[in-house]
Amino acid sequence: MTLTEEQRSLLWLSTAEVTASRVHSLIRQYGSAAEIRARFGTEDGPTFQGKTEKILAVHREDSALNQLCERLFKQHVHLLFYMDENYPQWLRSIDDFPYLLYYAGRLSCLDAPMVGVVGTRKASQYGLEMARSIGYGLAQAGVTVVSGLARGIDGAAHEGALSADGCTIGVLGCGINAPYPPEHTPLLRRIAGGKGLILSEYPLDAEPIAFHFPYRNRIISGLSCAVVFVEGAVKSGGMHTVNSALIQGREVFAVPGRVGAIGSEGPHTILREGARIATSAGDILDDLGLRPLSNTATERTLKITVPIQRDIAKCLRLQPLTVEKLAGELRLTVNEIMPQLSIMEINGLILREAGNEFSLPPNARE
Amino acid sequence: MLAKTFSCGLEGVNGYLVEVEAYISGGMVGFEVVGLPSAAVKESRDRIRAAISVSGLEFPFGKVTVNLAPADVKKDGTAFELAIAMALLSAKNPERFHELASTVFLGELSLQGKLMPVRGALGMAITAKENGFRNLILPMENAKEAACIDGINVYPASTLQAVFEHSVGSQALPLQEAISYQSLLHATSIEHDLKYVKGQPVARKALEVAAAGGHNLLMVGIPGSGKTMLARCLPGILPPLSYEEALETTLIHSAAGELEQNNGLMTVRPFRSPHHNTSMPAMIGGGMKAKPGEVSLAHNGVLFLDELPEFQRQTLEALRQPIEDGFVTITRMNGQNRYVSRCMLVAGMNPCPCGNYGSKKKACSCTPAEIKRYLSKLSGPLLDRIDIQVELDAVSVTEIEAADAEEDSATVAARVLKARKRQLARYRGQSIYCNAQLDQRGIEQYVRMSKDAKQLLLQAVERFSISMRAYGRIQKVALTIADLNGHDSIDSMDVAMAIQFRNLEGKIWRQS
Repeated sequence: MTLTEEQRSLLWLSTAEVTASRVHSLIRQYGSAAEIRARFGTEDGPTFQGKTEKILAVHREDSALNQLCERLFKQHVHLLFYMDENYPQWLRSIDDFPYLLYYAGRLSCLDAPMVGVVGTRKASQYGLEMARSIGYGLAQAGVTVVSGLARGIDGAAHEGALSADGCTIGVLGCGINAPYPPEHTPLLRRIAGGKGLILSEYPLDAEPIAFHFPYRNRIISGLSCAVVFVEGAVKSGGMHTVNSALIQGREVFAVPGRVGAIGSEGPHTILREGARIATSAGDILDDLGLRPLSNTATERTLKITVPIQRDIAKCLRLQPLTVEKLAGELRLTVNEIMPQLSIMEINGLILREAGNEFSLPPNARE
Repeated sequence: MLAKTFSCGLEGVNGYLVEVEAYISGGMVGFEVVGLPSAAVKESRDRIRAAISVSGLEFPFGKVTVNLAPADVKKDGTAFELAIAMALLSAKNPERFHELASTVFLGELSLQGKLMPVRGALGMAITAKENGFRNLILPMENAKEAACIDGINVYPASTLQAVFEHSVGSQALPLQEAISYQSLLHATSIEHDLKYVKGQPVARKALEVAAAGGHNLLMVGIPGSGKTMLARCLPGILPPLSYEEALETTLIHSAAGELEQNNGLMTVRPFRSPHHNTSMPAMIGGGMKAKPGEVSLAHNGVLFLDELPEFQRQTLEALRQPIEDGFVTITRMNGQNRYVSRCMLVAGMNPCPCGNYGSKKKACSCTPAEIKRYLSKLSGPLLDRIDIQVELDAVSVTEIEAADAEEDSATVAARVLKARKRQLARYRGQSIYCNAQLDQRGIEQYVRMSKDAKQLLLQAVERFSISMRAYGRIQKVALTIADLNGHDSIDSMDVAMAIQFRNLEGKIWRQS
């Protein structure tokens, strides 16, 4: 990997995790990154915080940077600079666009239209199911699904896209070598090793520090032409991504939930404020004009033959219920209902939520 | 001048016979106790001296030596005091006293000459009988537990003077009537009845299945959802204690000094709910004298651990072996004791540190990492020993008010008893009493499934990615449900019901 002096200087700045906004303002001041590096340590050079200053001083030597490049090469982690030709135009258009992205996987993902799918880490079964089906539907239509590789909704969106054998991009809030959360390491490998792409603006071993994640969200929305908020509270990371999407002028979608559930508050709030409604991947594709209007949505028909199961499904159509409430509603004993619920769950006719509550899968029709 | 009486000491839960010899000689006036007495036994010299004089009796003059044989066993406790006092009183004129050689004396003395209750009277009474003694004189408070032993005359006494008069024949002590176990059992009433537990039909069902198969149970629910209340009802729906079980359980409680006085044998299965700061020795037994722990006190009953993840990890891990094997061996400097500990483990816990995860009413304020950390305190091997897991939601006031009369414990207990009888018939000649005790080989041998049931279970395995261990657990629980329903082979409804109680491992926990 041969880098220009400017690129080397940007890499040098990134080793100390100097933020994009700082680098942009420094470049405005000094003219170029190379100039910043040249002036570093001199009287009229830039000043940094103590820790940053130390790291920058260590890496200022060419030998240290060469070593770093060698390491990146060995680990199959590549660099994408903002002046590169294949740096995504969409991302280039936002304030604070990242000056350097570390990546693993296929850059071709960036060529397709991209849609962000975000939401809470503490997702309900319903939310997970929606994220999965939207991820699946978008990927099948050739859209790249962008998300944050977090637990819950993010992971489900990636999974959905992977199961459609489509493209998906995971934007990390930490270094590619220290992925967070650890249990998503296999998922990360599947994305980077398959058709997907893993991006991070942080150096290889950067820790998953809390403030990285909201800052990272601007990349998710910046890459995407639209952001889908699946589930989350009013104060949540998903809401943050939605806000940055609005600032960047991106389209915003929200998946409606049940009124009263905590995870529905975020999407409902933005729906009231004018977000578009997304009940399936088809809604999003239609609204974005990515595909001609059609109704081959991810609807599923439930084939129920047992009368008691049909009654249960009818009750659940109105709202999710616990075993106790179902029994009361249908005037049956729990002894009669519980085995039926197991059978329906095994056959994929119902979902079991936390708190022993049962619901119909989204987009199910009788 | 030499006299000999008999008493008993306590080793673990069992008694051992102690010969008390008193020798009075001329020389320097003094009172010595030899034969490895502990500090408590040495102190008893002063109590005995005072008790004798206050009772208006004569303390022998001269050099008094008391020997406790066997001399190589450390003597602990205060149960020897009555025997020592009687030996001293009879030393001058042994012929005056009746039946010293066929009587065992138990009791601690107060300075006023009163008899105070002792620990482990039941175990000591059994020892006395096994050694061929005909009479047992002991404090009033211990009379009822000892009276459950056939073949020995039990004389309760309240003062040293009364014991003295009985022995010299001037006024006999009243004989304690033997108490039949049946009459005790008859008089027992259920303290915590299921009819007072409103709502929670799923948890009630889980409780019934757990009782019927002896399965360990984990209840996950927010505080106030009724976990403790349900667990307390469990002794009432388990089959009644048999005489042998009652004897085993009472022995342990008697030795630990935990027996309610004046009650005789225990007729209600014990319910132990140690607090979550309980240390490991207190839980499985230990201490300097290797005393029985909570798990042994819960023998034949229920060990309820509320706030399971709050227990120290080593305490929980140490519980695994006693629960699996039904006994625990405690080795300490002063001895080794083996205690039985066949109990049902019932655990309660919150779904997350703040308790609101999965609740509809309140938001959970925990981060996924916090929930994970909270749940990771429970080790897989421990959860593997819990066959039934059930989630409880809070019951609202309106639901309680609207609830119909609930089934009472007696009705549930009858069903449980029927299921247990089927199991006993199935496992006749094996050392297995209930379905929960089946191991992998046992499951293969005894679990008979219909074709539909097998297929349904395999579908479930596929869909929920059930582990091999969880697969075995579901089979055991399904067997118990089939027993409850009177089915000879497990049908698909039984399996479907068992899947409802499946391990939560694949559900909320690993997902967050």
